[in-house]
Amino acid sequence: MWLRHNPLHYFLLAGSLLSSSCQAVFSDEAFHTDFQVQLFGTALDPSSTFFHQAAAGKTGSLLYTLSNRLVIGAINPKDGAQVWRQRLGEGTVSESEELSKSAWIRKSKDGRIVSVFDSAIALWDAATGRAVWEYSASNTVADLITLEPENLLVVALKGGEVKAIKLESGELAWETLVGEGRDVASNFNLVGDRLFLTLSEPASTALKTVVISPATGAQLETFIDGVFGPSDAHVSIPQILPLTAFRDSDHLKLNTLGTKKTKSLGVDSTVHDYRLHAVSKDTLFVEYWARSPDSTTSWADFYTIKDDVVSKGVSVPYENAHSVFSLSDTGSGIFATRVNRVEIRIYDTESDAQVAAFELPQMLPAEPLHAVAEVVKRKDGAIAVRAAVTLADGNMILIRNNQIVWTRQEALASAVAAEFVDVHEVEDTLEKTLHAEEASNLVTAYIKRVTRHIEELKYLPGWIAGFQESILGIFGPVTPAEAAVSKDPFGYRKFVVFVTRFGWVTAVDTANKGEVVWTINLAKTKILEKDIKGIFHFGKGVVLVVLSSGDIYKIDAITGRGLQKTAVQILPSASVMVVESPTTDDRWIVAVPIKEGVKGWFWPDENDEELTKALSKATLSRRCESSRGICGYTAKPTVGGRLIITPTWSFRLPPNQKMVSISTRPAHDPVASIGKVLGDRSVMYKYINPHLALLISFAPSTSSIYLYLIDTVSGTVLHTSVQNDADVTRPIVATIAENWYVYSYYSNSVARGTQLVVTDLYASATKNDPGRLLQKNVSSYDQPRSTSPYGISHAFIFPHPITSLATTTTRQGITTRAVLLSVPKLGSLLAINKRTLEPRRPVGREPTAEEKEEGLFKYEPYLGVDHGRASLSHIRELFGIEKIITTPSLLESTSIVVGWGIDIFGTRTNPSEAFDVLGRGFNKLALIGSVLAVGVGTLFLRPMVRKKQIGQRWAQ
Amino acid sequence: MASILLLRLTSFLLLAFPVLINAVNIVGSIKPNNILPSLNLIPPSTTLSLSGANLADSRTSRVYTSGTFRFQDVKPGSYLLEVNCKTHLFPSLRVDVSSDGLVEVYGTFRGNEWDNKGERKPHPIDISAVKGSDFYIVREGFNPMKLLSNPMILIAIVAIGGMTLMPKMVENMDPETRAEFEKQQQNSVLSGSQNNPLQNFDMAGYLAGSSSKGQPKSGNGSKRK
Repeated sequence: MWLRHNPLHYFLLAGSLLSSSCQAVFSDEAFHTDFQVQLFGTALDPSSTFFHQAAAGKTGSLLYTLSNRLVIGAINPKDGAQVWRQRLGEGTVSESEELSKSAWIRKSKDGRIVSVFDSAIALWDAATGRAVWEYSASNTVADLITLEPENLLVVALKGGEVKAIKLESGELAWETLVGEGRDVASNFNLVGDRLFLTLSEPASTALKTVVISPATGAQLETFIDGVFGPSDAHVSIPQILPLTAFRDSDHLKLNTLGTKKTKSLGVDSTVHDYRLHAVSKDTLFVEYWARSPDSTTSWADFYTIKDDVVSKGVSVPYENAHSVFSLSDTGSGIFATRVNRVEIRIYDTESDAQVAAFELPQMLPAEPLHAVAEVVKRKDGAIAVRAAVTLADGNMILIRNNQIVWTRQEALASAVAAEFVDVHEVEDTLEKTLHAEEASNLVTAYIKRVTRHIEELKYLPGWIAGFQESILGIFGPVTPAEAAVSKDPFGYRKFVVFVTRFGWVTAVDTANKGEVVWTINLAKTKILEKDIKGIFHFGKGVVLVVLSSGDIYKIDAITGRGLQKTAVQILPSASVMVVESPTTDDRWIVAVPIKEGVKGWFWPDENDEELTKALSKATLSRRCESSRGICGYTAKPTVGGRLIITPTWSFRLPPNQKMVSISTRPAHDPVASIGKVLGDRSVMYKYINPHLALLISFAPSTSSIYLYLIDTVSGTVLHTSVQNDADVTRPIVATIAENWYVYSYYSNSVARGTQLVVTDLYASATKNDPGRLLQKNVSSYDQPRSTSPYGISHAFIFPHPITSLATTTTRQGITTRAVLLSVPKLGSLLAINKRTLEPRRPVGREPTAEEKEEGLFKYEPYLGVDHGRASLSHIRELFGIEKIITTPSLLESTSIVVGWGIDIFGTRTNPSEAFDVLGRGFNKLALIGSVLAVGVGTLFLRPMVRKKQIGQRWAQ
Repeated sequence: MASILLLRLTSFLLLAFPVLINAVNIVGSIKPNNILPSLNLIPPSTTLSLSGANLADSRTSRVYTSGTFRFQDVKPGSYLLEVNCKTHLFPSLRVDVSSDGLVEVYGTFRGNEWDNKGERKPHPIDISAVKGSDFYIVREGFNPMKLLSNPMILIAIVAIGGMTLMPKMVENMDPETRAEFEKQQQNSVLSGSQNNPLQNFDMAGYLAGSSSKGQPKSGNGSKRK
């Protein structure tokens, strides 16, 4: 019956059901309280970044790029703004190295862009970023070429299949198989109207070239003998050249296609790498880098190709610095642009002297990795250049002549770890200061107070500026002026410190649209997810970055100064965690090694007694070796910063199960109420245990996922559940907070789709039974039977895959939680109120009056979340949000949420509405207006009434 | 060799991947309607997903510039087709591909039991938007019209209107009825005023700020007379 309904009814029903529990973004707060840093990622390869006219006939070109996060798109070269983006596939940061071999973009006909990722080919409209067509091949694409006269895109697959796709429709025009599927195709070259495909034969380790007719796909000729040697490897070469390139150990060999003429260039053993460039079919440009331990050398050579003969032209001189080259031809001649950290120089094909040089205003923050440049020679002979340079710190800058026009913080798309830093925590809170003043004697307290007041004078200009602003704010929203130092009374201002894979640490400001506050280099060229042990907020605005190598970087997160760099001998397999002193402000990081009998480490190596005290009450838990379970240890500090580690318990998974994740309660997770008051005024007491860990594993053989709730002090399994018919290849994510956990997986059961399961844990199944919650000393070592919680679950069907789950945190935990979900298919960050994900919702019946009073409503299996209203990111399109982190603000109602992955998205959310702060909807003008109106009205009426009264008396 | 077979692409239902004869292409288009007048309004990143029993069989397609979409090499099975669009909502469809390459399309929705098929739809598939996404709550400002339409306010207005109009109406009455009316009024007023001391409260005086001492005096004075 349901199905006969218009689907619209269904949406409306879902919308009306959830209107109460969904928290939407106010239209006047959108784009003000939230920010998004739209990122592409670091440009992957110089041949996949280029300037290109967006539409035929239009002047002005856009900058197209393909990033290490598989995002393609167009950037406006004038201001660095994003024009459009598309994501070709999923890829982790660690995989970026490999991607340049399987992903690339090329210019195509009519202002279009063709992209390749592995076996997927797509043609994009360069101006709008809309797909024209997509085609997925049966094998990895080796190379492709656009044949303009034939209107074809010819694709060579790794296995030797060659397919011609019609540019207009995406349909196959012809296909052929070269070399019976045994050869590996690598490169197309177009010479005249003959299409050359270079292949290697793995069997004979030889290269061969096949000539293919573009119109029909017929194989016309094959060249093997006399051209290639047995040890030659193919070198990718611009398609425009009539050459194929290959190399052996110390030569770069260039064969003129269709002939046996080969030019061999000697390559010095010091040469670290070389790159071939061409913009026309008669000029080849080779750049070389040589790296010796103490210096980097770079140089380049021009070669001309005339009558099938390759001859050397001018050489661009050696330089003892890292520089990169780009070749460009914008109609006024062929120019090579050389970029290093301090200047840009232009060379032409005529002489080895530079024709122009531009010194940059400041040294670039990192060495350039590659550059694309456009050089224009004006009629008067003046040279102008613009170059998009990808730097070794992962960012992209655009240089016009001697100016840096913009910088895109693309390294943030390759972040491997992130942590919040409280900015307000650094300044002593007023409360603390006042307590300190109370404690000291009268004179010192007075002096302290006066000095504090003098110190606070620095906020005066900002306050006056803000005063003006708040007056103006009466008459409508104003955009805040670029702030002088001003206080942040609500604690909205947090820095998010990211460690990027390029070895840099960068902080962004959540209160200032995600602007980069500072960035520093860790003097590492590459940090992958596995290389980082963690980034820890160490209190007082200090962050620690701990690498697997044992390096510890202590950074002042407010200024971005490196405070200390030290190294301890951490084994790569050791787990690093923070231990806080229960009494003082001291913190340590401890490393727990995997091997039994091996000592651990703690750092800093001070206040041993405090650490002993802190550790005597704690059990450290970590993943067991090769992620086979959780192991618990006790630790005792000894001399020299070492820890004696004693295993106390371990929970190991059965051999057929693989671990997915371990979730623990957030570090800041206050529980405001120990129970839940029901409609009949009885209480369900929550199961509150700060040492909960939720371990999720799956068994590939049975398609089941297993959940184990573990007490990390005693190692007791408190609760388990199993989900059968799960698709274990799709994401399984979980979050745990307070007395509940939520997880999501894809179910292949009757109710197929992504399921969101919520479990609430209570102390007892019976009402008004606090269990042992109210006892003074609750210990994890008590009898397990008595400590096991009572769990209630509900499962919901969710329409989209969820790749990340998190929960909001507020200062006191009074505010209702919201569960945050990253839904990449919609490009949204959704928030679902915990009241909706309530396992006590009545099933199959309407709620009773008592249940209604409690706020429960009827359970519906389909969690019909309104994508619009539930979206914290509203109309913004988020790319690749992989992790969501939250932190409380100083307002109880507000939690600060930051999602990161490719884009960085940050917002503030009020799951229970903004009950402790006046929103933007508070109309100051109306308030003042009505007060004035009443005042004016009284003034007017008073004489009138008096007159009437007097008149009345006279009349009496 | 099977892969050398050249199969011409037919109009919509086609076998493009010669090795797997059973795999079919599922095609269709997004049709503009009054909710979505132009396909340029949906973001370029809008995708359609065809979710099968496992991830390897699932397919994704973007919406092409022509408004069409295409899932290539779909293996036999039962799929859920959804449009993942930021700005508009589209109905979900169930797509069944039989082993002989027959494609059947049905309307469906999430949370429906999978065996329960909906209305049969044609292939190639046409999908139209059913609703635009609504992201924001607009704060309700002060609205005089809304205030006036409140029934309590309406009653108050009628009452005030009656109070002001009544004396005039009384003036216009013919003398006999007027006298009768006044008599009636006086009776009721007198009985009321005697019972209710508040009736004598001098509101105007109070508002005008004359001292509270003066008020009872004036009240008493009027009574005495």
